[in-house]
Parts: sequence; C-alpha cells; structure tokens
Amino acid sequence: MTAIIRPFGDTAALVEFASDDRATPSAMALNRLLRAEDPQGIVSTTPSYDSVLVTFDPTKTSYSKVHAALVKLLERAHPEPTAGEKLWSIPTCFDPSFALDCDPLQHELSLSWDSLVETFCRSEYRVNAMGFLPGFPYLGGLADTLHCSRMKTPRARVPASSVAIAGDQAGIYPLDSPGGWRILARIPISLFNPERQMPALLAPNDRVSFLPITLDEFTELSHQWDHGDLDIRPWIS
Amino acid sequence: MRLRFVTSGLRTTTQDAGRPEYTHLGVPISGALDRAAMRYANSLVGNALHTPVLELTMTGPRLICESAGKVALAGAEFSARVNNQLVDSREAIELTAGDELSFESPTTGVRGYLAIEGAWQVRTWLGSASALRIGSHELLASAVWQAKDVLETRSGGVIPWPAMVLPPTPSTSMIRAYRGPEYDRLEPSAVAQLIGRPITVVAPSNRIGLRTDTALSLTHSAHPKEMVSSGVQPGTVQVTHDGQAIILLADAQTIGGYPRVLQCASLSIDDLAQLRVGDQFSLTLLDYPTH
Repeated sequence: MTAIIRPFGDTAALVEFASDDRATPSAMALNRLLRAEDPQGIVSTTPSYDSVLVTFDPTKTSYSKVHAALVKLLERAHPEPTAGEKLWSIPTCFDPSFALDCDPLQHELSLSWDSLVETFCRSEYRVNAMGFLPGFPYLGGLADTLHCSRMKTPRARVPASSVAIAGDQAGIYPLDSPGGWRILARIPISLFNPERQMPALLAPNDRVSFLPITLDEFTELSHQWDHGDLDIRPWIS
Repeated sequence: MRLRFVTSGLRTTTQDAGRPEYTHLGVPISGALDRAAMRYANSLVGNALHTPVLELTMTGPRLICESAGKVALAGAEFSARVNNQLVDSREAIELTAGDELSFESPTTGVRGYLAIEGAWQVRTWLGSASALRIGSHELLASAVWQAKDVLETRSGGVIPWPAMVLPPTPSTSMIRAYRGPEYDRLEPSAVAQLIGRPITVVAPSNRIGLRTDTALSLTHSAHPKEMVSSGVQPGTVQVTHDGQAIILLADAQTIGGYPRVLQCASLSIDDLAQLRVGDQFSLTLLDYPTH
C-alpha cells in the first residue's frame, strides 16, 4: 500500500497513507500491529484517519531502526477487518430534552425529527480517531443527508454522553466540555471514566450503531449504570 | 518521609514521566514539563529518575516535615528556606521532624521540581501519578496538592539510580526545531518571522501550550483549508487559522487539525517549560540527519 514514512522531530516518525478509502483502515491496521508487536523503543502510537504518529525513545532505538520496523510492518498491515474488532449497539435517547439542536438541525437539514433520527440510526459508524478529549471518538459514516454545520459560537458546556454531529462526522462527548458540534441525543452510560482501569470504552477502528430508546428506558438504563448494575456486554458483538 | 502542606502554592502537582501509552485513546501524555529537572532532582535524593516529583508553579508551597528525610530542588530557581534560613539547594536538603520548608519565587522561569526521597504513596492512573486537567476536570484529583494534605514516601522499593546525573544545562531561550510535516505551508514571509527572530509568549499559556505574538501567512494553494486531524506531540508548533503559532506541551490534545510547521528538538522541550508570558525566545532551524 502507498504510505510515506518521514521523521517528525528527533524522536518520532509519521506514517501517512495516500488519501483514499483504504487510508483509515490501513492506518488502524498498522496501529494494531504496532501495539501487538511493540517494536523495541516505541513509546506511543497515535492513529488518526490517514496517519499514524509513532514516537520512540532515542536511548533505546533510532529513527532508522524505527523506519525499518515500520516498512516491515506495513507489508503486513492489511486493512481487512480482524477478529479483535468490536461492533457496539448503543441504546440512545433522541428525546428533545437531550437533543439540544433538535430545532436548528431540522431547519438546516430540512428533515422532520423522526426521519432525521431514523436516518442517523440506519448508518453504521467507525471510530476513525480518538482525540479532542480523552475518549472522544470521531465517527465516520454519517449519511450525506445529515452533513451539517458547526455552531458559529460553541456552547460553553455540552453535557457528557451527548451524541453530536458536525460536517461529515459524528461523535460522543466523553466529559462535560465546551463544544460546537450539533447535539442530537444522549447515551445512558459514560464512555470515559478515569476510575476504570481501561478508561475509554471505545477504541480506534471499533464500529458503532445507535438504537433509539424512549426517555423512560434511558432513565432506567442510566440509573442501572450509575449503580454499577448495567451489564453492557450484550451491546458488543 | 512525611510532609504536610501548610499552603499549596499557586499550583503544586505530582508529575512523573506521564502516560504516553494511551495517546491512541486521546489521553494527553502529561507528566513533568521539565524532564531534565525532574531526573536531576530525583538523582540528588537517590531515587529512580522517573519517581514522581512535585511540580511547583511560580509560587511554591509551605511544607512541614513530619518525619525525616531528604528532598532536592531543580528547575527554575525557587530558593529553598528551612525554618526561614536560605539553604544551598544545589544539593539534597536533609529535613528533620518539625522543620518547615518554604520557597522564594523564582525571578526567571516558571516551574521547579522537588524530589522527595523514597517510594511515593500516591494514587496512579494509567500507569502515571501525574495530575492532568482537562477543561474543568481533574482526572487525578489527588495529584493536585492542597493545604493540609500529607505526602508520604516509604524507604525501599525505589531502585537507586546507579550513575551520576549531571546538572541540567541552564534553561535557554534559544529553542531548536526541525521542519514539521506541514512546514511547506509557511509563506516565505512567515519563515522569516518565525525563524531566528524574537517571539514573545502571550496569555493564555499553560501546560497545554505556549501561545505567541505571531501572525503568520500560510499558503493555501494545493491544500484544502481544513487539514485532516493527525498526531501531534509536545513541542509541535501549530499555526491556527488566525496565523498564531502555538507550541504544544505535555497536556495538549493528542491529534490536531492545524498545520504542524515545526517540531521542537527533544532537548529544547525542557526549556519551553520555563518560558513565562511576556518572555522572548527564538527558534533555530535544524536539518534532519541524512539516512
């Protein structure tokens, strides 16, 4: 596959894939191999869309060794789905009390709320990158008819667990935070919890779909989650 | 050794080598900003070099020693006082129970590092004891020290560093940098403004990054205005849509959508930790070695 490897400062290599449909799956495949094989001296790997940033400890390896290791791994970094990949089906509440941008979205997209929710839930999304906030998934796969603008002035506080869209992407806010994406729903669990040993539930390359639930169902699930009684394993396949 | 906080100082946090293994989940690396100072202070008390330290910011805490041990100070010159007497802080400072340790604020620099002998009895998260603030969230609240808190270390458990560590070179405002992935986006006028000319640090600047008084022109030809987000590191120099150069530090986001025009050399990153709002610095361009 077409990838360019070049130095990024004296302790990192940047791998960039040609921008096409295979770029993100290829970047994720390379990241998976890097984490599985952990070449000597690698400190961090950060996949994002069409690139992987690899930092290294110069006392344990060198740029040329890292470059050589990356060339070898790229030969095997095939973008086919692998067994480790998860598909999440997340119960999601589109009640107007959570959908802070219910009105502006219907207006901008010229869609009724019901058809907007139906369109949103019909797509399957993929985690193309994580960033902005710890555990914030950038989800690719938003239907063309739902592409929308960001807010001109971001909100000072978007509640944690809000589901949002902007441009051609969707995302879920892991923490309360300022934010300019359009809010259309909320999920009853927290995606990111520093108290957990594995703090982020989603990981790069996971697939996500959203199942609409009522406000009553949301309240019940959210209550169970807060009390540690919610088993989310059935949500993952 | 046991120390009780009488006052906390402006912001005194636990920091170590951070948590670089979790950048793929969007968790900032965090950790001590001036790593050489952290290592040196730890070496003076006989700790392993990446043992946690206290990172002092502009104003230090006031501490009462409740059980004896050694501490050592490095980084910006927070002159140490024991029972109000100035002490030589080029070496480890021996404290006995009842001693009060306080600090004078440095005249230059921002951050001091206080190493404390022994194995730290503190909480860790994702393999690191470092504080990390995201917006208004403290992700490891116990790593931010407050008045009345007690810090305890135990002897043993820490492997002494076998070799002598040289004192860090005094911090400098000459920052060395390599070309970043989007260096070519800089117009010639922007290169002239960014390289070899005095640049001033402006507010808000913090552990996330240093903002500068720059207004740089970027070329848009053949490049879409919005870049696809890609990985960034401490020391990455990004240019915002307004033309402002921002130098990222340890608590920055892990990916970014602004052009990464330069990457500071690893040896210069410690110097960035000591730049204050209003300080001037200059950037020198280094060439990549040919492979």
